[in-house]
Amino acid sequence: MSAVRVAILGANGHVGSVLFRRLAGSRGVTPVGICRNTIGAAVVSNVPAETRVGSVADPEAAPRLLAGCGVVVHTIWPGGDPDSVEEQTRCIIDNLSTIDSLRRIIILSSVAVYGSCIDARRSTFEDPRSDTLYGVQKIAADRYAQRVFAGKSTELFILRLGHVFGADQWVSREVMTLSSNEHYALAFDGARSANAIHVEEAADGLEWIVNAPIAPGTYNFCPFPQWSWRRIYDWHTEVCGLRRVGGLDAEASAGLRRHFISEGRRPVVAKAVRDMAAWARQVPYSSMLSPEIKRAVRPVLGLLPEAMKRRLIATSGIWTVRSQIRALQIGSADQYPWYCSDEMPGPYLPWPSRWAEHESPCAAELQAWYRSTMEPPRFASPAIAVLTQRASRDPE
Amino acid sequence: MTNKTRIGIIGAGGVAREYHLPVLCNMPEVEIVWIFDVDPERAERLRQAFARGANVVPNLAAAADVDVVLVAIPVGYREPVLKEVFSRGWDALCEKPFARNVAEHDRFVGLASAKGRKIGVGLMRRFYRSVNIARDVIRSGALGEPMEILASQGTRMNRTGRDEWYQGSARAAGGGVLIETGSHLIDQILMIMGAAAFDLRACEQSRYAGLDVATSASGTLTLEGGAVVAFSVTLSSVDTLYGGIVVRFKTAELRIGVLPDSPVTLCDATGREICALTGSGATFAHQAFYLEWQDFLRACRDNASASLTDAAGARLSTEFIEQCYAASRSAEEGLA
Repeated sequence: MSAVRVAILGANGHVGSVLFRRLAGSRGVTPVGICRNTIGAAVVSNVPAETRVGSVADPEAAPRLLAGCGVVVHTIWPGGDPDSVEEQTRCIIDNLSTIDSLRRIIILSSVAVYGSCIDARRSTFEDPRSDTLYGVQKIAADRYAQRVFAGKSTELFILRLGHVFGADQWVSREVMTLSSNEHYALAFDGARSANAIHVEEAADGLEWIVNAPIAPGTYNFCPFPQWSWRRIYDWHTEVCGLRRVGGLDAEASAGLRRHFISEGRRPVVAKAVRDMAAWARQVPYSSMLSPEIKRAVRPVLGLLPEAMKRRLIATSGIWTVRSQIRALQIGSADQYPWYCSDEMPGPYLPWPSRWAEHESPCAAELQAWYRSTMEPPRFASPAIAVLTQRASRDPE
Repeated sequence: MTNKTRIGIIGAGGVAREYHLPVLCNMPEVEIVWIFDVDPERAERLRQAFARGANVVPNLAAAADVDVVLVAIPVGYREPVLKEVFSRGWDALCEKPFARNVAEHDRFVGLASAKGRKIGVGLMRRFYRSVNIARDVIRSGALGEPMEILASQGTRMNRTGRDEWYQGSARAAGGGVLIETGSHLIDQILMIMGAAAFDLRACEQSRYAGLDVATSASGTLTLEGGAVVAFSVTLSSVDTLYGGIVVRFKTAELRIGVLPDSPVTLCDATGREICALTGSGATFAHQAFYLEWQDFLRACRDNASASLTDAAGARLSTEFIEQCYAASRSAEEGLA
């Protein structure tokens, strides 16, 4: 029996590149990495597997790029303005639907469909509600794929991927940044479920689902039971030799969660008005207004009752000083909604965990990555020149 | 009759759209007269967005006379364009990388000088606040003689967000990460240190599809005062690396980030941060482009040679990049 050929769309991406490397060493699977351009393809050029360069959003290129593939893992999220993202996302789905050889399509969706601070009473598995443009577009893309593949024999899986951590992944970058701020404290002391997944575990799950006897449909995609934020933070700080991040007390944490949930429910217009007001409060009017305007305003102020006039002037001064104090950024650290979230509601992808075998190499990789971002490497080769051709699959 | 400097735009790609045109639109002393691109639709989109009073021209022969042109096309396609530009008597500000090798660099400069025109290079990082501060501190000698320079910049290109473009072609781009990103970083190092010469001792490149995707080089710099300092520089488009320059002294080190708003941090010999240094200069990319245009237009207007955009001043970094490529080519021939 020949190995199933698996196309990875976005093979140079943050998750796609790890999956591509994994499948290249996997028995029973022949991966085909699909990258949009040569610069991207270079990132995975040392993976011992076939790479094809082009855009699956292009209907003429798609059949060539996907030729011979039985399974697609779609990890692409196109860049550009919102209209362009929607158009390209739909084109990719449309083009996939024309490839007869595909028996299984696995699309990476996102935890963002539930909102940035998940309130599981309101944002449910069947009816997710997002407060971000990215989340809203992901919901639309998932629904479009479901419509296109409804009634077709191709098995469609939509995986709502958790926040991804690991070397060079965004969660790990954030953990390192926040850990270096001595004022940062983890909401709920990190006790809440993180809705997060290590990129190697994501590769485990995707490798498993390529052939797994599991019903098509939509699944949350992170380990269950979940990692807590505390476990994630402590793992990072221990591996990289950083200070342990403290916790925010329960009352302050609950207040933060209430704030983030109400923010998530606020209509876009209200958010815009609030943001403009916040901006206006930071403007140092006293230094910005010209003497002519100040002179013109003075008679108007003169018409106001003295108490009101004093109050207006004082308020303006207070706002100016507040913005200056904020600019000092002393004793403060930003807080983010995902640290106050509920767990993703609904069924989770039930792949067998292999974290125990990954933990040690993942820790070494995280440590090496962290060091590489903190110091320039010192290069000293004995020879004047050594050329490394990433060339066994070099197209030239 | 207008006193404004008339400008033509050659190349309507990303750097023109995102940086040069927004800056030029904020300079009342200039007027964009025409835009030329091999893709007229792209030129038209740029015109509609930024310069409704300008024309899209089908070729340079059809373009009206201007004072200055922006040359924002890939370096590999630049030579015939520059010949035409100078034959028309226009000054030219060229996007980086300026040239693929020293011979080409000298030809471009020679083309301009033969016609009595100015040719500038847009190495906008030269205008960063961090570069100003670091250069002033190092040249003051306040920290003593530098002992070592370590520099790197690397982004693993997980997300390019675009279809194939000129950077995927060695012919168009002139090479890979060394010439594309390194033209900035190496120029920053040479400029900050006040380098007069370099000696490349070791170079290692990793290639894909004819493009270098990682380059490491080490050797020594000879500074203008005669001091010799060891350096190591690494660039990569396949690995994420520290983005900045670390200059080590006997009892201190300076850390200079590559972003416009990066601080210059004074550290002790163990790397522990003592304080951030302040000074003047650009802290946003657009500010740097603005200062670059100011500098080049002033040089054109006053016929001044002392200018940060003067292409002749970037010759050493062109030579450095050429030597790295030559070294890896000879290694390639050795392997063959």
